Amino acid sequence: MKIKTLFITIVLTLLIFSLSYAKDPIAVIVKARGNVTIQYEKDGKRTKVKRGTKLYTGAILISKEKSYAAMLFVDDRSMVRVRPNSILTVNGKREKTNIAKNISLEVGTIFAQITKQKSGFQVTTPTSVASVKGTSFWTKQIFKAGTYFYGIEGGPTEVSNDEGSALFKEGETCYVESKDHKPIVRKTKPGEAPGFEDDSIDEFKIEFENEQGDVKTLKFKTKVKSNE
Amino acid sequence: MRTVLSFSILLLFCSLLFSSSSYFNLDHQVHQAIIGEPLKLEISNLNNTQAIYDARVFYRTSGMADYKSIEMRQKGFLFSANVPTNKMDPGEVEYYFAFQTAGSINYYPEESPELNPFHVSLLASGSSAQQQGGGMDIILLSPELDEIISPDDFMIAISIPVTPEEMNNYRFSLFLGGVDQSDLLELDGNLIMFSPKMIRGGLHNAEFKVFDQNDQVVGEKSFSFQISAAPSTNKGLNARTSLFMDNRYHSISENSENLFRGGLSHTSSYQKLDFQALILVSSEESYDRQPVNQYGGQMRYNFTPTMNLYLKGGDFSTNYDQLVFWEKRVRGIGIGYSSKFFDLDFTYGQTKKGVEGKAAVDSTQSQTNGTYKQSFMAIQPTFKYDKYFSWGFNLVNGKDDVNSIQYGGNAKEALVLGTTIGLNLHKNRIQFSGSVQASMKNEDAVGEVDFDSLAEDYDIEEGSEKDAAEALFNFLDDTGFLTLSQGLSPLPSVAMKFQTQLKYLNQVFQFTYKNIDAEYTTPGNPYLLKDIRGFYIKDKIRLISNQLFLNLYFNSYEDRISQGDGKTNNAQYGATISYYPFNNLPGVSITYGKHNRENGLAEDGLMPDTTIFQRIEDTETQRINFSTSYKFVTGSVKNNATISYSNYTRDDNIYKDLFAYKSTQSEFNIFTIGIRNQFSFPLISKISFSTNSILYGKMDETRNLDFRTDTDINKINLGLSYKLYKIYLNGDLMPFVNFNHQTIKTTRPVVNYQPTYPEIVTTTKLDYTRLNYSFGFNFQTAQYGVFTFRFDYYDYSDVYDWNDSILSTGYELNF
Repeated sequence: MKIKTLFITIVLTLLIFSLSYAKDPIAVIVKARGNVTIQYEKDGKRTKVKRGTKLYTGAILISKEKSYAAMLFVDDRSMVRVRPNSILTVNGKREKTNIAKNISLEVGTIFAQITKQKSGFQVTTPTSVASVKGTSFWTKQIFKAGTYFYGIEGGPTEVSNDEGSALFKEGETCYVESKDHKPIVRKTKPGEAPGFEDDSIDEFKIEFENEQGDVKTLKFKTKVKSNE
Repeated sequence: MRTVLSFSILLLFCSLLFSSSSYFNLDHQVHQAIIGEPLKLEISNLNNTQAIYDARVFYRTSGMADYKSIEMRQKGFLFSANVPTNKMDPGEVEYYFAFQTAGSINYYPEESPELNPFHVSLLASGSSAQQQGGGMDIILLSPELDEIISPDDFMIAISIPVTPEEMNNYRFSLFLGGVDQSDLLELDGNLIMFSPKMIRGGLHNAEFKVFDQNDQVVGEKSFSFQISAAPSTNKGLNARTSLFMDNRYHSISENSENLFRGGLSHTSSYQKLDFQALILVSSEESYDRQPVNQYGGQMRYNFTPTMNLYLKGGDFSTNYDQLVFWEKRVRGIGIGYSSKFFDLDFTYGQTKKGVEGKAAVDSTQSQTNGTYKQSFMAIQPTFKYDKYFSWGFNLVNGKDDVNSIQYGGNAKEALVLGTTIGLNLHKNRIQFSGSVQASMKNEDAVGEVDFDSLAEDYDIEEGSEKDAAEALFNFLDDTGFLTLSQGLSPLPSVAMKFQTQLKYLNQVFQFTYKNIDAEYTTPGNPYLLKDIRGFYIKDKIRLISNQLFLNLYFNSYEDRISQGDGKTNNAQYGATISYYPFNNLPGVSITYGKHNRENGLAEDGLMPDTTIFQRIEDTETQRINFSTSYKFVTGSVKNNATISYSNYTRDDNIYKDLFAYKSTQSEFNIFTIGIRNQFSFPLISKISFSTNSILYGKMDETRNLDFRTDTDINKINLGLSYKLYKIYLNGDLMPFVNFNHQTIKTTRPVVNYQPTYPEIVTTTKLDYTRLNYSFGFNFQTAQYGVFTFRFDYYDYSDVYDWNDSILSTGYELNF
């Protein structure tokens, strides 16, 4: 009997240990062109990303000139596209089967196409935090300067900092000059928002599945005019 | 859930009944199936002394015209096959087994297996996983649907909505173009990835499935993508090799034996070149048996995704058409070309090796015949227009080599010539296939004969028939396909099959006609069922948003056509109604089927005495089945309960009154209940109980004698399996234990057969138990492969003086 108890204890200990040790990917790179690297510490080893590279929480992505990448989160297929000359950190915290996501954009431009969130999606910049529920929008962080949020589809999205908060939606731009300034929302000027002109990632497909299991695919192309 | 099916008792009983005449002593266990889950058919071959060259299970849903077949995998004493049920109709699956040994094919059941197959109910699923692609929301991250990817960028990334900790409760499979790639899946958290070093260009279809601990499909996703035709810049070789070994030590009927089987299978690709190889070595290989060992390789060069050239060597098989060349292993070479508009295949080799016979040295001068080496040649050019139209021609020729052995029987040869046609229109809604084949054979290919002598032997009269026969004779003389000797049949035998399928108005309607002469012989399909002619109609109707299915079938055909008055008319009809609820409600299936067989001897009212050597047929077989399954949760335990009831009656209208002792009249009533529990920790338990009452035989009403055998069988099955994760070498240990207990009570008459009309002397009662338990484990590691261990023990109580035991071990490593 003692042997049996000991055996079960050992097995359970091994099981719990193996589970607690686990570190799981939160996103995967599905497109990569040019020079995009990943590292897990500020001065850590940089590895060039490619299609299939797994991202764990804390991943720091750096895209150089004429380089870009796209990642999909594993829990809900939310997509983040990284434009050239960007630095961002991807964080995710598991909440059962969902992941609470946070993209910390230090500098550069990203496009987030977010499905309806169960655990939250945030884009954090040096000036503010955007809390997203289900929308598509650009975030452009100017080096040592302000942040632009361009609403493309859906919304509204809340941007906040210590000075206040604001909601922006499709066709609107939210500008935050610094963390000491309140977010300001206005209409997006024609040609102001960034675009995908310089890469081939311009086609989106969304898959729908009804109760009978029929799958239908909606294909559309983004036509976002760039202000660059 | 799969529960031991009550029919296993029926089959056990049948096997006991027929065991005295059986070449194999096959103990048979069947599992119930739910549509969408693989139907695992197992058959144990406990005391066979012959090497099995090829083992196969033939299956079809009730009412279908043709059986499909799948090769069975041999693991020690056990043969098993997973029959896919995804595309099957609700109702029943009919199946039988076939074993090819040196020079012969043995079936189980033995008598007319295609007409007396085993049956398994296909239960409606409570979760109707197969209808909705599984309940689990599988997230396909890459590739996107119908995406065109460069070969270097290709990878499949999938995530499933479970926590990483729960991933160990599931098993995953990935099929790419029908090829199992499951071993190459990489798991990280709840992310599943497949990224081969190389992949060929062109369109690919992928099928991903998630299985739970009950081995049930809980989620599946099918998708397509295209790899661009641009050559890969990756110069690396993508290779996968599997090493496998099985060993079995058994003590059966007080005889001990050790059997070993091992080998390597290899698949690789390098740029546009694909390569496959198989080496299989068995301790059963022997000079006096047909080959058990296999050595084969295949190479294919893909010019484009739709055009390739291939070369096969060693042991391989190629399929043309079921009537011609199907599932037949050839040792030789094969070469072929395939494109959108034209296909060509050429196969040359041998299908049997020469095994020498024996001549007695005593005064009897008797001879034991050996097996001739049989050469084989097949060629098939096919003209096509993509997938819409095909028109093919084929020639298949097999010849015994009379010089290969000294002591043999009659050398045989056969030639088949024919054509096939296929149409596929309106997005697969209209499908037509046709095949017309003619065969000639020589049953004694030694010596020489001229045409006139042959025509006289076969009473071929002057006229067009004789002219045609002579033309054929001359054709054979010129080509040398058949030896022109006394054994040659100068007139061809014909086999044909036409099938139309229409998919409209929520229905799948199928009409099939086939006619296969008794003398039709093809060296390319030894399993072909002959001497049969008739049509088969089947309709599958979907109702109420795919929740209710109605299947109807009617078949009218004749078999034993060549046996004169023995020609038997068959009328088969039946229906299955199945309800697949969208919600978690019980799935229900009700099946009714009837099969009438009657021949001229019965119609003539002939007495079934010993002067009639041809079998009289006049029977009515009726089957009624009700089954239901229900999935429910109690606390943290997931349960799946099944209940089924079957009634099977066979009315024999031939043997009655004074001949009642010969009757095969029977009635079976079978009730089964089972439940499987899946706990929150990785333990699965199962328990099932079945009770069966079987009445076999008939009363002699004129003399008031009861020739019936009455049997009651109760069976309890218990099973436990557990899984220990990452216990050693990062591997998972899966121990299991099974326990089966049967009580069998039989009352049967003891008959004195000496009088003209046999009499009952007394009745005997047999009351015994049969016990079987097994235990073992699977130890699976990603790096060091899978090790399996299993021990089986059979206790026959007082029926036999011995107990049987089998120890099986296996190892498989993929790298």
